[in-house]
Amino acid sequence: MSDYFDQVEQGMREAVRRRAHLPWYARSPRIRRGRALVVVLAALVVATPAVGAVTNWFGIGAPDHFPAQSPTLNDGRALPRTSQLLALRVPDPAGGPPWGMRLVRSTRGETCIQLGRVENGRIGSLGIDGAWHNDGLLHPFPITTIDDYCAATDAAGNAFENVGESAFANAYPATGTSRSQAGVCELGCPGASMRIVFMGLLGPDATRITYRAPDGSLRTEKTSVGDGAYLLVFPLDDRNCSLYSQGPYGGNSGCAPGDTGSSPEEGIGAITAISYRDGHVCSLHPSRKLLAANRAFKASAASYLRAHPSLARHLQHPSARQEAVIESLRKRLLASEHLTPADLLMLTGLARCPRVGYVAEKEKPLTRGEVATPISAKVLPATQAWAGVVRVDITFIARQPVTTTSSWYEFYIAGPSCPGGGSGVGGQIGVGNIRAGQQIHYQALPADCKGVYHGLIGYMQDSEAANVTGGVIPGKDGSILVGRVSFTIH
Amino acid sequence: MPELEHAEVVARVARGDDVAFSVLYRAYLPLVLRWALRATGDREVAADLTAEVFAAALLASRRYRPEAGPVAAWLFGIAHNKLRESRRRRRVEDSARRRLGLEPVALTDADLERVDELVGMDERLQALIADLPSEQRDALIGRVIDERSYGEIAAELQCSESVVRQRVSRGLRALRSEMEGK
Repeated sequence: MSDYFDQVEQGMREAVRRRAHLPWYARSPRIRRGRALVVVLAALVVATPAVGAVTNWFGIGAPDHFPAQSPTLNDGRALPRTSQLLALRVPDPAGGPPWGMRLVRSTRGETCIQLGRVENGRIGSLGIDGAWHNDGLLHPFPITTIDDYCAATDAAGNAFENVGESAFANAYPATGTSRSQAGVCELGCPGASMRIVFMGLLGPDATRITYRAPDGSLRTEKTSVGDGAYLLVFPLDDRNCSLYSQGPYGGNSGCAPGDTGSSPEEGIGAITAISYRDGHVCSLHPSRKLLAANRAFKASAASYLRAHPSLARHLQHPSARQEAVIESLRKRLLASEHLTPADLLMLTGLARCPRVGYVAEKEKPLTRGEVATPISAKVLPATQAWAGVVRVDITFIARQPVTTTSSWYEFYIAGPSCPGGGSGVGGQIGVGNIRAGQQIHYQALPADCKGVYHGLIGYMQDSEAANVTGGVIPGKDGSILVGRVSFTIH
Repeated sequence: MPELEHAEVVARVARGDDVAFSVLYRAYLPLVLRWALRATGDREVAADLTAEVFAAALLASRRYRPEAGPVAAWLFGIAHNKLRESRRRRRVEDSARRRLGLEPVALTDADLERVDELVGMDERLQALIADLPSEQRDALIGRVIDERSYGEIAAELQCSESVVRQRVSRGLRALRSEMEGK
């Protein structure tokens, strides 16, 4: 490795490949934000009495201003007359207007949650902690705003989504698109001004959630009728952070204010069970028997590592090969304790409940013949601005349109293995609508190694119906193969 | 063929494209490092802070919205926050790197020379800033380098905040075009 900055770059690239920069619910390539009902075990805290109480009454200030969002990109733009302020209200630990949620439909088929403080039937941000020059007013969010918390709307008009955020500014729960946010202490707020928030939509059949309180007891809360919405707000302090971020294996990922936006980590979460109106309960909480088996597993693993110090040394940052060895070892040890894959998910905090009540769109599945098209790829000449980066222009005519976030074109390029190159690159092509017949130009960035590369292009017709998410291999897991292409980097 | 924009590069980082991260890192490293050196006056601290800024940017990548401003302004927003937090804690923040599971990297004398080299790369940028129309230059320096609020700059330049935003945005766009040799 050459110098400090190269090592930093390589370390961060490796983190990107591990998807360590993404929130836990987006890390698996098969799980998209706001998609699966991923709810994890571990601790939860309840709102405690005020710390540094704020005033009890907030007048209404000027509306918040958000930049215009494109109706055809990302989550799209809010559709007029679709916003619905839910009746759900949750007190803030420091007092002031309660927290609430507003739902809004988007032009790209999503249902999005706006999280904010509610006063006189308006939801918005507060003029405290540096926001809005500390004017002490509530500034309503425009109903046209789409925030970061969106999930596909199903055929019955419902959405299924779970979100956890470990470090929200008390004043400002929106995710960074507002113009008024510049002054808020989002990353440097005193502890008393930060919140841990869990919220979601569990569907029309959910009736209540069970969650763990900081004293260790399990509590239940009704979800809102019709959409199964829930909202939990807790103060972020060292104790609560520890409760939330303590994984089942003892790791603590931390939730400092500077970490806003990427939590909860593995092993942290709020809900331990979801109850449905037909009486069945989806449990996400490990049984005593399972916890005992896990303890036995940990003891076996510790004993194994003591006998294999060379492996133990690399546990924190294993290579891909060592990771495979560790994973195989883990499976073997778990099998010896009679733990099933479902138990493993439960213990690692990745157990999830199905989307009860989800109604798929009725679309005729497309065939390969209906999407196939010739693909071409051209290695672009190096330029000063892109020094050291290979860019490949992939071109094709899209035969099928993309009009929602549940459909997309995707690519995957595999090439010769090289240091720092990973095993291949792939991803969604573009983040917006595509017309049938539109010529697509996509600049892929494969690893900079000499040799022959092979690429695949796929089309995902409806990821919701296929129950898959971004990151699949084109032509597999619900994706239809559009075509193949090869090119050489000299 | 449309040129690959840095905003799109950030979106790709958010989607898990590690090569895109390299693109972003190499494009903005000299700029951020120079700012950090100016803010801290210490090469070692500046290098440490710069690494933390990019780690935090990585974590925040999914929240970047091009509508809210150019990539450079977003990065400097993160940088200012990290600097403030570091000053408050009296040590360079490392929570983002810890969160990503990155091992601490030790700096050598050769690395410190590399800081000088990278910062030197920024001389061209300085020349480009100097060549900007004065209203764009003043707005850009006020906002990005001196980290003043739009309102403050607007008052000084006797124009509205939206005009300042427009000038900053145009200035950054012009700089990027120049740097990319357009």
